[in-house]
Amino acid sequence: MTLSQQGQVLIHAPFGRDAELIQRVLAHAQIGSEICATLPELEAALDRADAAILGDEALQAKPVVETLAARLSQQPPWSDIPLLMMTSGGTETGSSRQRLQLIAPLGNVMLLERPLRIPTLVSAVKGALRARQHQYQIRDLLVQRERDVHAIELSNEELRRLNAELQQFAYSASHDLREPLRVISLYCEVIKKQFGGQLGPAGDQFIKYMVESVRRMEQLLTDLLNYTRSTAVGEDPAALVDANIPLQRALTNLGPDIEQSGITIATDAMPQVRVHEFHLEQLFQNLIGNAIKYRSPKNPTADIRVKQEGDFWLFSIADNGIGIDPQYADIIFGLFKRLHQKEEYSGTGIGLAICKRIVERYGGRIWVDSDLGKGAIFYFTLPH
Amino acid sequence: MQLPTIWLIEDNPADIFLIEQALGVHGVAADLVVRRDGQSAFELIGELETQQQVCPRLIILDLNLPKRSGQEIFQRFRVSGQFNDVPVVIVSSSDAPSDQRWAVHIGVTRFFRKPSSLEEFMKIGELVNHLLLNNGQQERDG
Repeated sequence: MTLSQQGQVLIHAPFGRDAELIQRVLAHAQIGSEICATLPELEAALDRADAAILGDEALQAKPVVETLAARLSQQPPWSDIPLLMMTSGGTETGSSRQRLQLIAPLGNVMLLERPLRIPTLVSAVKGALRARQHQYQIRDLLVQRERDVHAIELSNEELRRLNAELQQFAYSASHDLREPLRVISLYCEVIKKQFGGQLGPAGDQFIKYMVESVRRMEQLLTDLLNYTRSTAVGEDPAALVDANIPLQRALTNLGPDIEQSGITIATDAMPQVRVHEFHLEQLFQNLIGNAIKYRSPKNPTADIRVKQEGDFWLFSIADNGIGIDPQYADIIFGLFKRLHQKEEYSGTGIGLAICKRIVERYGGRIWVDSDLGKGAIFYFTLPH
Repeated sequence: MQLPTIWLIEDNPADIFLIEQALGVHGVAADLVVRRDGQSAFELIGELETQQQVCPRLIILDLNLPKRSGQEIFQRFRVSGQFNDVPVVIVSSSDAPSDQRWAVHIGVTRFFRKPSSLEEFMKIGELVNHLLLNNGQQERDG
């Protein structure tokens, strides 16, 4: 059904010249109308256009009430066609209350008792048209909303697909890029074995540079793959995760470094959080790894603490290491950001960027409180 | 005494050279038949089926090959029925879980992940030696 914004007032006053008179009065007030002398005509007009129905007692007849009620019950939820019914005043055909009961199935009805003055009729019709206009506006908003929802669903679907594609791409890229490096690495060793010492005084050093660069590239690829994994949108874990498990795994992974550095590590009992184990492991491993890497030369320590703060768990990893100049406290969380030459401290500059992405993915924050030579405390929050 | 035959299906000459070295280091004496893409590996199987080749005692198979994949070739071994007692060592740089699962599921003898250190790489010679001896033992026992 095509609905006209203006709509027509459908006049159903089958007896005498009432209909023509009303049409003329409405036309004078710039209101368009259509006369429907019979019920089939009224029904046909309802299919084409509708704004309001204006009728006389004929609307009270049982077949008319039944037919119209059936039609009007099929209106969409936003639509409620106003019906204006002119009735004879006085008591000869019963009270207005009885009439209202008769025509109640028609819904949105207004009674206009005769004798009817023209301004009353015009203002009642105008009021009904305004109400109908608002219904159309609601319809338009609903249509627009439906379109928007559909568009959002489409773009969500597209995002999911792109994300899956990106994951696949990152995996293939990090694997396929690593493959030639593997061969370079192996043949650096073959050259060193077969020709070591025969390449002049600098030759061995050159091979060493090559081997170091290959190792670094391999580390970069591993870290980049972890970075893309940490930023993937994926589902949140359904169950709570015991944070002690990924913490212990991170400590196991760091085992050789912990032993070699002689660092003393103290940990609180960890809470249950709704965060992927893989993400927690990454967080702990990167932050504790940094505490080890930038440790104090004497009696290095790392304290891993957690406490409740409002709706969040506040984790902290405090060390007594070399510390960070406060002016760099923000940039260290950027991708590929490093404060040291690689001869001083190795690293790819991806670790803290991974931590930031993971924490923010869960709506938490990460920051550092530090000063040069005074150790560093890294804080991060995760929701309960 | 005739030397045992080993098929090596591998496209990367850098890896072929290292595998030859590894076999040499571990004293594996064998005739090495090398094919460098999936299609010529298929042809090699055809030659065996028409008695133009002797049956290998062991097969070293790369997964990522031009024209036909290592997976397809392995499937072809199965269909042929002539390779039921031949150990197959898959060599691959892939650490994709799907490849590992496939290898376990299909029942390959060993999955050797190509390493990036020379010392580790040489261990494939040790593995091949072990499989050749074991398999020979089984044949005598059986």
